[in-house]
Amino acid sequence: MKRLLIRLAWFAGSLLLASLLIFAATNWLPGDIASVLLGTNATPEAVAAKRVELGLDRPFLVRYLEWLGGVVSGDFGTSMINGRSVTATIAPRLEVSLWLVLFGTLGSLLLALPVGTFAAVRRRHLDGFVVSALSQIGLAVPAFWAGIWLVVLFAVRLQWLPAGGYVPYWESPAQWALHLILPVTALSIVQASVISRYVRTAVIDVLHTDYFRTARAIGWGKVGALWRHGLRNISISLLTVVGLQVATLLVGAIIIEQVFALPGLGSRLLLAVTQRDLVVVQGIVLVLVWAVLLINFLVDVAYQMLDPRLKREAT
Amino acid sequence: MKRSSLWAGAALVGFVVLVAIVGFFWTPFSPTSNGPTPLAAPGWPHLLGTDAFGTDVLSRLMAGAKVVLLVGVLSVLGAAVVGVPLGMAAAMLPRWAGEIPARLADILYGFPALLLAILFAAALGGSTWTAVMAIGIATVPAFVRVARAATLQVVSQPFVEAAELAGVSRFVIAGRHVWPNIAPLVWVQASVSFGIAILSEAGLSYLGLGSGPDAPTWGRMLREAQDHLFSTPILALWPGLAVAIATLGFNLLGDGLRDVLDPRLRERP
Repeated sequence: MKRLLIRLAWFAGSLLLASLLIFAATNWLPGDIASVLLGTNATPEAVAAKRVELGLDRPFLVRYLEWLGGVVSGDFGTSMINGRSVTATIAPRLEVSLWLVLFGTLGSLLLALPVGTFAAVRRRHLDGFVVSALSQIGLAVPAFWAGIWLVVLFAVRLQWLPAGGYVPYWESPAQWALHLILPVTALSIVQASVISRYVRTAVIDVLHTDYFRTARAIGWGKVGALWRHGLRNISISLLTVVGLQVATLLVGAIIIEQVFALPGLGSRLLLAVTQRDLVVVQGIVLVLVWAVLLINFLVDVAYQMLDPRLKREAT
Repeated sequence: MKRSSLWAGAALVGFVVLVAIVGFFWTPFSPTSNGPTPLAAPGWPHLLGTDAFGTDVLSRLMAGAKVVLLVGVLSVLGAAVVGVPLGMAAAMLPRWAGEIPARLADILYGFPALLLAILFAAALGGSTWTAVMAIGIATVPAFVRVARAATLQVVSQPFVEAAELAGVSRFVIAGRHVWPNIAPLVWVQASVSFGIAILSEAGLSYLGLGSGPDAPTWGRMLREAQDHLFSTPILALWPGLAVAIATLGFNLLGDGLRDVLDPRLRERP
């Protein structure tokens, strides 16, 4: 219990520090955002008036605390460009990013578990070697390049699936699924090659354990023994990897949104960057970074709860 | 099989470096100026064809190799120079002080290179330097972790204890006893980080957050190729292939180095 509280304190601290870093990066680096927004021809008086309008004339710490206070109560401020509430801008886009990351994680696990296990069990044979060589190549391929080729193959040549765009689930579940297949596949293929390498190592470790040898000796088949005794051990070490990969997946999703013209957080973020809309930028980046930190925290806690060996030490 | 990944990786990396060096001094055509034959198929004189502006694709690829290696070298070197001493300090300082760099590294892990680059690009405008800075900062935690874990192993060895008892200062121990022992792992991490840096740079320039419009980067070429997927999909082949070859090379080199330099990590048969 004490250990959990310490973890919780670190987690809260890291959320706070991350928010400070984001706010500092967008508020200190640019020099003077007011003159950037008004262009080079603005008079000094107009710039000064804009600074007051944006609240930039007040001390950094005051503005940070005000922003953070707003964020905690669900108010991310108002856009510098169109004056709309940032919360209202972000909320409808969360859904798209969420589906991408969720299905990307599931898809990569569904691919990586059998592939990694196969590569481990058959590691002394040619086919096992070929599979791990392929995963090595998959590591080197950018997800958005895979996405581009999926478009060329399934949208341009075969015309089975749409090349891009998004339809919300409540409008048409079938269209929603069709539009998500290619982007999720692009994310999953690349992600799976990372995870399958960890699966391979974990399975090889299990193959060398005493309990696996005993299970084989009492008559279990290789696959049966792995399923019955290996999976739980493998899944525990895999949990950490999947947690760490969520950050990569979120970033991959930003680029994939661009490839498939999906209206998620990433495309809104890039629009805000070109518009120099710093309030929107810091709002979306904060949501993404906090999501990564939260997932890593949850994985950490789950790790200690799932692994009975750690649980005994903790209490 | 033995050391095959080392040699394959070294060959691929050597090839990319060679192309970058040649591209620095000479390209078949100008990599930036437009030509008279847009969207030409691969052939002669344009070996890999031309893009929508008639620019020679091979020349652009060669010029792009230079940018990729520049960003990779600067960001990985910078990250190692900052991260390795921090990691060593985290392992050698008293526990309460050592926790700080380790925890900071954990938090920085939540900031992938792309998000940092987006923050910098929003504040400063995208450029090669914001890309280097973003990728560099995002790479620091990896070096902190590797250096910390390796140093913890070394400082528990008797020869370090002996040096401590002999009154050797912490700095001398770090430089003379710890560094030579952790250096192999740092090289491995550098190679792996280089591969990741190449992927990140490609992603950044694909999104238009990296080098300026006149710099021919592989990511930018992919972005431009996407407008012509219906007519000339082959344009999307070459830059992606270049990214994959360069990344694969550094990944294999890292794996190979690990096998050679650190026998303890060698995979069981």
